[in-house]
Amino acid sequence: MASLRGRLAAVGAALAMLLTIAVGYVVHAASGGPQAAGQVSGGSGSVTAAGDVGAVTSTGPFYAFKSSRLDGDFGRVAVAPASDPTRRVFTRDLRCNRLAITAGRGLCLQPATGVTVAVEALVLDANLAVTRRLTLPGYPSRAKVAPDGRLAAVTTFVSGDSYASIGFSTRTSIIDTSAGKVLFDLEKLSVTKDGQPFHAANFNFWGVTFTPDSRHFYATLGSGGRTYLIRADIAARTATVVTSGVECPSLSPDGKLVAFKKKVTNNPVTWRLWILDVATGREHATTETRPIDDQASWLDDRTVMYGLATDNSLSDGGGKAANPSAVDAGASVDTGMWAVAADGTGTPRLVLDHAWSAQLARTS
Amino acid sequence: MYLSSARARDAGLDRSVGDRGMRVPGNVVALGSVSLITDISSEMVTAVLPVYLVFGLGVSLVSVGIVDGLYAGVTVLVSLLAAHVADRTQRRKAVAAVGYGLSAVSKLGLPAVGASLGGIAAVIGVDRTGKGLRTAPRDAMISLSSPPDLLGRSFGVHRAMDTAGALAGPLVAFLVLRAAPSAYDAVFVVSFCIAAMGLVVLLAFVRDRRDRVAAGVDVSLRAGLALLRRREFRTATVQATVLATVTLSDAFVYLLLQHRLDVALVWFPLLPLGTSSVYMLLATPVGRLADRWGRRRVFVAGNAAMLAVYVVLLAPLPAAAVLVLALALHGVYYAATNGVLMALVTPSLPAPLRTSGMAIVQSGTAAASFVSSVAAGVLWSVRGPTFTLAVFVVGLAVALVGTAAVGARRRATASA
Repeated sequence: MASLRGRLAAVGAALAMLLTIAVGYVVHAASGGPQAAGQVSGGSGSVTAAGDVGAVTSTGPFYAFKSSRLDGDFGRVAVAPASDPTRRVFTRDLRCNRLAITAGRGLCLQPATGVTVAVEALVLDANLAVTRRLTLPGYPSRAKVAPDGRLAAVTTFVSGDSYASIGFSTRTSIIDTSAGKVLFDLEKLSVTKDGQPFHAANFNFWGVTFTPDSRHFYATLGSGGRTYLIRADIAARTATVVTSGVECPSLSPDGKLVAFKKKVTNNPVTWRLWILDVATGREHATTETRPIDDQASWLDDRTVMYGLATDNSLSDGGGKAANPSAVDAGASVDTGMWAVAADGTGTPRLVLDHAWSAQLARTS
Repeated sequence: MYLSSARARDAGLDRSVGDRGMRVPGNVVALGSVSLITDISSEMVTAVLPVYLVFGLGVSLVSVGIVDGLYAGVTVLVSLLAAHVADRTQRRKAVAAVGYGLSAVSKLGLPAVGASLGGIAAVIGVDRTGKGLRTAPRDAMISLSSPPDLLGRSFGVHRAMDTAGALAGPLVAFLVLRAAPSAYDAVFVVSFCIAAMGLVVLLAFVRDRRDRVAAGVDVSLRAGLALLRRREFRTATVQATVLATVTLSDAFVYLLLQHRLDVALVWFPLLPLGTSSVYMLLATPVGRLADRWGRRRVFVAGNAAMLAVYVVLLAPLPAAAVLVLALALHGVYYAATNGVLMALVTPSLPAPLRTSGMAIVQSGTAAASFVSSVAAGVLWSVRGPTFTLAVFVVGLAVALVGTAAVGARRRATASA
């Protein structure tokens, strides 16, 4: 039947054309497409040779951080002496989206390779060598190590964990660093608020910070569009709501102040760096007025350090700032680490250029 | 008398056994192919959308939560109106083509609107509208293309092909992203091309059986709604709607599984694959079973399988057993209800109003599912997962007993 044959030929031609467009576009994108985001592969170019990390970590206070310069070193962990932050020494092949170091114990979060969306959490020793590894679901977000080094906390972003079809929620786990195992998820905590039991399915926990005695921690609890600061007892698996509107808390070494991100606008969501006095419950702003999305760390009891995207690299061309939490998740963005006084005075200063997730660590 | 009436009802059974070797109508295969291709296209986008919004656009993770419910009401209205237009003009294929076309175009809309959340919401709205437009006309065409005693099998074949596409979609997206890392625009362009292929196949190979429709029949909006005065149709619609109200949506089933198993969270996104695989494999054989054993019985049995899913989730079984049993039963539920319901209502719907009737059943169950999701969400947040599950166990059990009782009474009155 000629008409059928003609129809088949026309359909075949149309399908072939569509297939050609599809394949052609993929080939084009594969050859000259944009740089891979969502993977730690930040840039092309030369790769700096690994140095003697131990020489830096054993001689005095040092910074440990993820290099965010958009070159072959992007994502590699480096250390630099606190006395000379520009003298960076690279680890051999440790690449982390998020890094935490305390008391000779480190925790590194990197995206796991494979079909599923997962985070590889690496426990590190004092010289940044991997001692344990475990896999968690989601994208890397936050990491902290307790002052005694025995426990650590990991927050990941998980999609499909909610009954809304598109959306992310957070999962936070406390990890036993010597066993390399999850001790418990924060969802298992029994939370009380104003003396009453407090629970809901839409609970999200993120941003753990441990107390100096390593037996308690603070974290953010999100529920129904509100955020709360909780204080948890690790042994009892209980927590109480302390206050609200505090995200990604970070406790000062003496345990007296909490640096946190305070939401200042809703659409788009932006946060500023604020300080909470634990004893009085009073809050005040720092002089850092740029929007931040980071869990801060402390240089000493009076100085906070936090990451900011380097201008330009955060713009998608339309002038819209990219989402910095995508930095932790793995987007290729150049960043710098800044420090500011916690008492609301002074001006922010740049501590480390081309760095993210930096910590000031002391020789144990 | 139960037996004789059942036998009388299944009088077509012997013939269908005789026709076992009869081929699936070409039009059903064509519509199945269109759905297969279209589902590859839409599922590959669904698979990458959250990641694209975050990594590709840098949309803040917290502002990504777009709730589906917003579109549920719109989709119901659109599908009822579209069905009326399809019946009035008797151009089901044209209405379906508009629906497939809209969804295809929306794939290109995603890279076009960029990081604007309003734009993204609008594009998703266009996609959902397209889906609302095409579903009822498509099912009406399947029903009009199939011999009456093989309706279950025809819908089964269609649903199996549809689900095969849904399974393949994420895999295609994965392959595209592996070839071109982070090239989400490539995923959308490929998705558009595949959706356009589906439209080409629809236009070229699907035939609208207009010749079967007698002229001079009332196809007004009122006539469409008057379908609910027909007892058979009303009973089926009400029962399906009530059952859907006490059926937990997929997301909750997977959340409960995750809650129950507490491990292997990394594999959470793969849970739907278990359901879909079973659904795909069983859709056709269960459809045939429905043609022989009774569509109503199979439909009720399918809902009983859902009850069994709940029971498994509550039962003190080893984790592996819970996982396998729950997903298998969940797949059985789909195979025995989704297409079977359409086959079940077909005989009570006159051909000229077939699309409207299909849309009424589908809208009823869709609205009920939405109510179920909202109720489950509230229960879950107030009383936790176990309580939520317990409420749905009781609800579904009562609904099933009610459905069975209505069936028994009707058989009794029929044999009296």
